[in-house]
Amino acid sequence: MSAAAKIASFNRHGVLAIYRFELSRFKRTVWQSLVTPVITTSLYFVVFGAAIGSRMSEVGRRALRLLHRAGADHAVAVYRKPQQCLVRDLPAEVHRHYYEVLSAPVSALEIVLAYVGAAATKSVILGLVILATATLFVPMRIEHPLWMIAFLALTAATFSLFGFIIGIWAKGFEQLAVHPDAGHYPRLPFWAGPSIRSIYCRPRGAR
Amino acid sequence: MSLFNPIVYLVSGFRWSFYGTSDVGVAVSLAATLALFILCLAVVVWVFRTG
Repeated sequence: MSAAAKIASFNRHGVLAIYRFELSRFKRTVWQSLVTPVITTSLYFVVFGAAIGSRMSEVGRRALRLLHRAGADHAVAVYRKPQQCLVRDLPAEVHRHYYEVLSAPVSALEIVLAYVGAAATKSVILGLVILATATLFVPMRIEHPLWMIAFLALTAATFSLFGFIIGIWAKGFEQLAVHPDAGHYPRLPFWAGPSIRSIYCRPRGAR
Repeated sequence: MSLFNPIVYLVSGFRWSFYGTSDVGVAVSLAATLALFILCLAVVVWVFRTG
């Protein structure tokens, strides 16, 4: 099939139907999808601020809490992205009703585009909401806003694809927990990257 | 040791867009993010081809 024929046969109605259905699911589960991460972020800043307080150090002339704001936004989004994609996949697999999608006149590319696109869209929305929440606690100034959107969108697409893979691979809820349990939580100690040293390492000259 | 964690490169690129400074160079961060994206895409293609 030529490229022109492939474009002409692209089932945009099917893609849009799946995409809209997934976004409407986001609205139906607004407490789980949106409110919970906002509360978690708020608590993070309150607890972290109270625990570190005046001992908050400077890393590269930036207060550590400012560095963590970007990390918090990114980490919450990274964690939620695969979840949003695989939470859709798994019940379909467990209840064996994948045939609904597989029997529909949509190609593999269109399925991936619709599901991953919807998950990435939800994640970008969530990331921006988390960012707005964080600005209530720390001042914000974005040096490169376009690059910020680009990194957010690219990370959203990447981890939505990752969630799609886990959603297809997982046979039950135990395997579903592989990502958060084995992938996300052990990563938290390294979450802030090398800058985390400033919390755990003794300042130079201190005994 | 943190540099063995691929997420560091993703977070670092994101931080650079906020503050203009980061632990890892922005080009390296962008390359790592794109590499992870291509890897996931390749796995999805492989899954659909092999069934």
